[in-house]
Amino acid sequence: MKKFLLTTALTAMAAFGSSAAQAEQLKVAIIESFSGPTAQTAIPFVEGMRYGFSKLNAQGGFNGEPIAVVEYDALNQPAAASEKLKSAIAEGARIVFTSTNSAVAAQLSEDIRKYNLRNKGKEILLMMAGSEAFELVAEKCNFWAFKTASNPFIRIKALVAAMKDTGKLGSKVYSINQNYSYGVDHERAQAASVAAAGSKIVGSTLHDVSKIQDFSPYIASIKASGADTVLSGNWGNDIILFMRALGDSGIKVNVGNTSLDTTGAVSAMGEAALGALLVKLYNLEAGGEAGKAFAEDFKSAIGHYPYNEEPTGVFSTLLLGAALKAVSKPNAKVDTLQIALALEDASYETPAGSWSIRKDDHQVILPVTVSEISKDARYKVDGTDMGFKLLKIVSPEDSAVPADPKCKMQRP
Amino acid sequence: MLRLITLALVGAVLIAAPLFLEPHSIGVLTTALIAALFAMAFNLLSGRAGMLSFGHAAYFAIGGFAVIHTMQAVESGAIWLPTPLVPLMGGVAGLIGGLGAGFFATRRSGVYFSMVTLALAEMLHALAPNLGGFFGGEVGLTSMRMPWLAFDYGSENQVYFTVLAWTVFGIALLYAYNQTLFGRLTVGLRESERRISFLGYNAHHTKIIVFGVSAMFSGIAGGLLAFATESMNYSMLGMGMSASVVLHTFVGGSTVFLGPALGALIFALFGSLVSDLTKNWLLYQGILFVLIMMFMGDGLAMLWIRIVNECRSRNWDALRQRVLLLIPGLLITVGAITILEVTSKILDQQQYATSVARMNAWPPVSVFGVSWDPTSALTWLLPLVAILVGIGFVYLILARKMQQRTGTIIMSREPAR
Amino acid sequence: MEFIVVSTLNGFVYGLLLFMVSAGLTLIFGMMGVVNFAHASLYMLGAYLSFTITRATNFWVGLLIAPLIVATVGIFIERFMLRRVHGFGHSQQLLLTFGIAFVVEEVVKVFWGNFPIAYRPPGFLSGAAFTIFGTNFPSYRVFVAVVAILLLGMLYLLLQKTRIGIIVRASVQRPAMVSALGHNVPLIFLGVFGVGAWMAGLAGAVGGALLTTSPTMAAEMSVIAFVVVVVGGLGSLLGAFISSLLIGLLTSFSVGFQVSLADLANVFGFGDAARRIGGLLTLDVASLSASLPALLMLIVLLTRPAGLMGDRN
Repeated sequence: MKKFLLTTALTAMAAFGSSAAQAEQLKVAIIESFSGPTAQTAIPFVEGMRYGFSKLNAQGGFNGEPIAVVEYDALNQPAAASEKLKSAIAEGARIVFTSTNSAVAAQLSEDIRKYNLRNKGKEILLMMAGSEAFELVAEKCNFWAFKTASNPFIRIKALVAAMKDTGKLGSKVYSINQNYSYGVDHERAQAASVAAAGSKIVGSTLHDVSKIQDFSPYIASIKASGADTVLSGNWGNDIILFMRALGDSGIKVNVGNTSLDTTGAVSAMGEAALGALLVKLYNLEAGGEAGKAFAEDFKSAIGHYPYNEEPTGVFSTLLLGAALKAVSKPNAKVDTLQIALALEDASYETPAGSWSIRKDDHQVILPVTVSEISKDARYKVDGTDMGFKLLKIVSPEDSAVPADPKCKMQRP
Repeated sequence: MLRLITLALVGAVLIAAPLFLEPHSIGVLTTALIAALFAMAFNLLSGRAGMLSFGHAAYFAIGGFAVIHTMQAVESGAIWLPTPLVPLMGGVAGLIGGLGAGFFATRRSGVYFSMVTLALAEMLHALAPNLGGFFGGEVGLTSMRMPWLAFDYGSENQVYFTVLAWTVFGIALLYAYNQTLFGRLTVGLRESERRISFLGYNAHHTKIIVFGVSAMFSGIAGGLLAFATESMNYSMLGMGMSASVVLHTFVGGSTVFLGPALGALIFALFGSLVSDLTKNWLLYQGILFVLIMMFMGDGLAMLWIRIVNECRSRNWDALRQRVLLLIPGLLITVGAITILEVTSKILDQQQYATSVARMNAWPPVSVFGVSWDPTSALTWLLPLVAILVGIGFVYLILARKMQQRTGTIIMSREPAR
Repeated sequence: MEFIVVSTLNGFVYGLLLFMVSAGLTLIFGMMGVVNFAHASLYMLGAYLSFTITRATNFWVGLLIAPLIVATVGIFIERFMLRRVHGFGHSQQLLLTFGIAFVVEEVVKVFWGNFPIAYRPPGFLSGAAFTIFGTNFPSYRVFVAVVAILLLGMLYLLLQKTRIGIIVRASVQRPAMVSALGHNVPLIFLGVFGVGAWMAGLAGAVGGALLTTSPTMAAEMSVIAFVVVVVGGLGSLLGAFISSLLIGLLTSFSVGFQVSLADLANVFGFGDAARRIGGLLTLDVASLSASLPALLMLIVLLTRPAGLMGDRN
C-alpha cells in the first residue's frame, strides 16, 4: 500500500534529482490501516488528506518544492505501525499523519517522542487527525504531536448543548457506552454535560466492545428506567445493532451519538435511524456557499462528496498548510521545530468556523456540528433517501473544554 | 555436518545483517525473530507434547505487560535492572501465568484442552479493556529503554542484537530441554499418556510443567516485543495473535525442531513485504496455510529435509519431478493471483466504484504491471486457462509417478493415534 | 416483571438461533471427532449469499437458495479437503478447518467489503407482531423462532423416526461398528456434513438480517457456538438445544444485573475496602455479559467435562 500520491510526488522526485543542491523537499508519511477492520473508517480520512495535500501543492508546496506524500499500511496494529514509522523515517519523512486508531496514534506519538529525544535536529512531527481518545491530550500529551480531532468531552458537551437548545434533550437520560477507556470517558462526559443541562441520568451501562449480538435486553433495561433520551458513544456494529433493536421495539426516545455516519451504517440501520442525532466535526450543509463550493470541489477531485470523515482530513492538512506557509522560505532546509511552533499559532477558516491549536495540550479548538438523520437532508448517503440534516453549529468557544491538568508538556 | 554448516551460515547472515540492511529492514527482522521464538515456545506444547493451544497469545501478552511495567519501574528508578535483562521478567510472568492456567487446562485433553485454552484467552481478552490500571486502556502502556554501560539502546542495531541474543539463547535452551529426560517425557505425553503413568510419572504434573515452560518462553518473546517497541497494548491479547502463532508453527512444520522458527521467519517477512503490495495479503497467507495443511501436512521444514535426502541418495527422479511440478505450480499461482487481484480491485467499494460512477465506464486495473480491462473476456480467460493448464500438468506428472509405482506397495502414513 | 418477560422472549429467540448454528457443529463433532472451526464461516456465508440473492430476486428465494449453496460448499470441504487429511489425525483436520475459516473471512472481505452490509428483514416482516408492556415484539423475531422450531422438529423426526436417523445416531456413537455392519460410513459423514452446513447457512440467512452481517460475524459466532456445544456435551443434540437456550437467556438477563463483587462484599461489610482495591472487584455483571459464556464453558469443562448431556470425554 506504499504508493506515491499524485503525479506531483513523482515529478517532484524527478525535480529533486536534477536540482539536488536546492531546497530540501518536505516529505510527509500517512501511516494508516488500509487493511483490516478499521480500513473502512481510515480511508475517508486519507482521501481528505490527499485532497488537502493536492491543494497545498497547487499553492506552491513548501520551501518552493512540492510536498511528497507516501502512504504506509499500519495493519491496524500498534507494533506494525511502529515498524512502518521506522521505514518512513528511513525514507526521509519529517511529518507523519495518522487518523482513526487511537492505539496506533498513541504508539506513533510515543515513538516520535523518543526518536526526537534521541535525534536532536532531525525531529519528526505527528498530526493525529481523527484519533479521538482523550488520553492523547492528557497523560500522553506530547509537544511533537498535534491532535486535530475532538474527544468525548468536546463532542458530548456540544451535543447536549445543541439538544437542549432544540428541545431534544428530555429530563431523563440513559447512557450506554462501550466498556473501555473511550466508552468510560463518554460516560463521564455524558454525566457531566447532562447534569449541567439540568437533566438527570436515570441509568447507565457499559458493555463489551463489538461482542454484543443482540441489544434488545439493553432496550428492555432502558424502557425499565423510564428514560426519554439515550446518549451513546458507541461506534461500528455496536451502534448499528443498538439502533435496530431500538427501532424494532417501537420505543420512542431521542438518541444522540457520535458515529452514526460510518460508511454503510445508515443503510444498515434503515428507517430505524430517522430522527437520531449525530455530533460531528463537520456537516456538508454548513457554511452556505463556501460549504457548497468545498463539497463540489472535493467531489470533482476525489469522485464523491465528503460525507464522512474526509473534511477532518482536509482541514487538518490545511491547518498544517497555514503553519507551513508562515515558515516557508525558498531554498531552506526543513525545520520541524519551526513548523511546530508556527502550528501552535496557526488557524484555518473552515466553512463552519475556525480551527486553531491550543498551546497547553495541542488539542485543536474547533466548531462542532450537530445533525439529525432525516429525509430532508441536502446530501443523501449510502444510496438511501436519508442524510444528515444540519441542526446547529456549536462555536469553537462553546465546544472547548479546559485542558487536562494531567498534561505536562515538555517543550524543547 | 550439512546441518551444522547451514546453521553456521544462517547465524553468520543474522549477525552480519546490520551491515547490509537498512534500519527499517532490521526492524522487520527483529519482529521476525520474536515471532520465531514465540513459535518455538508454542511448539513445545502443541507440537512436541501434542496439546494444541488456541490461546497462546495470553502468555505472550502477559510477558509483554510484565516487561513494560518493569521498564517503567526501571525508568522511574524504583528498581535497578540492567536493560538487556529486562525481558527475563516476561519469562517469569509467563511461567507463573502458564503454571496457573496449565493447572486447569491440562486436566482435559484433546479438543477439550484446546477449548479451555481458547476460553481462558478469550476471558482475559474481554477483561483487559476493563482493567485499565494494568493493561493501560486503549492507548496502551509505554516506557523507554534506559541506557546501560556503553549502550544507550536508542539505535535499531542495539535492539536487534539484544533480541537476536535472547532468541538464540531461548532456542538453545529449548534444544537442551529436548535432550533431557524430561524432554523425552514431553514427547511421551503426545505418544502415549498412559504409558507415562505406568512408568511411574505423574502425567498431570508433567503436563503442567510443560505448559509452564512453553508459557515462559512465550512470555520472553512477548517481553522482547515490549522491549523492542517500548510499548504494549491489550490488542496483543486478541485471537489474531493466537491464530498467527498456530499458522507459523504448522507452516514451518511442528515435527522438525527448527520448523516453527522457519515458518515464523517466512510468514513475518511475507507479511512485511506483501502487505505493501496488496491489501489481500492475509488472504494469500490463509490460502498458503490451507494448501500446506492439505498437501504437505508436515510443513516446509520437512519438505526441505526431503529434498536434502533426495540429493544425498541421488534420487534424481524425485528431484526432476519436483522441478517439473514447479512450472505448473507457477502457472496456477500467477493465474489465481491475477484473478483475485483484478476481482478485489473491481469490488473495492471505496475507490473503484467512485471512478466507475465518475467516468461511466469500467477503467482497466493494473496487476503485475500489466493493465487488465475488466470488460474484456481475455482478462478472465487467460488466468483461468493458466490455472487449468497448470492443474492438468500436475495430474499428468502425478499420474506418471503412480504408473511407475504400480506393482510396488504404496507406502502410506499410518493413521495417527 | 416486565424486564423478566421481555428478556425471556429475547433470550429464547437468540437461543434458538444459536441452536441452528450449533446443531450441525455438535453432530459433526459426534461423528468425526472434529471441531469444525469453519462452521461459523458457513453461517457467515449463508448471510452474505442470501443478502445478495435477496437483492436480485426476493427474500424467499434467498432463504431457499443460499443455504443450498452453503451445503454444497460444506460437502466440498468434507469430500475434497477434510477427507484428504483424515489419515493424519484429528489435529490436522482441526488445523485445516482453522485455515479454511481464515480464508473464508478474507474472501468475504474481497467480495463484500470490510464493513457491515445492509441486510435487513423484508418489509412484510418488519412490523411488530404483538405489544407487550408497551414494547413492540418484532415479527421478524417471531419468524426466526418459527424457522428454528420447524428445523428442530424436522431434525427430531429425521433422527428418531427414520432408518437413516438410526444409522446416523449409531455412527455418532460407534462409527467403526456401523461400518462393520456394511453401511457406507464416509457417505453418511458427507450427508451429515452437508445437512450441518445447510443448517448453518439457513441460520445465517435468517440470523444475518436479525443481527448484523459483517466479516467479523463468523469469529464472534464461532466462540459462542463452541461454548454451546461444549456445555451441551459434544455430540449431543439435546444438550446443544438446552445449552443454546441457557446461553441465550444468560446473556439476555445478565445485562440487567448491575451488581459487582464489591456489592457482594458490601453484604459482609467489606464494600468500601473492595471498592478501594478496584479492578476486578468493581466490575458489574452487566458489563461482562459477553464474557459470561466463556466463563460458563470453563466451569462446565472443569466440573462436568462431558457437558450437560454428553456421555463421554
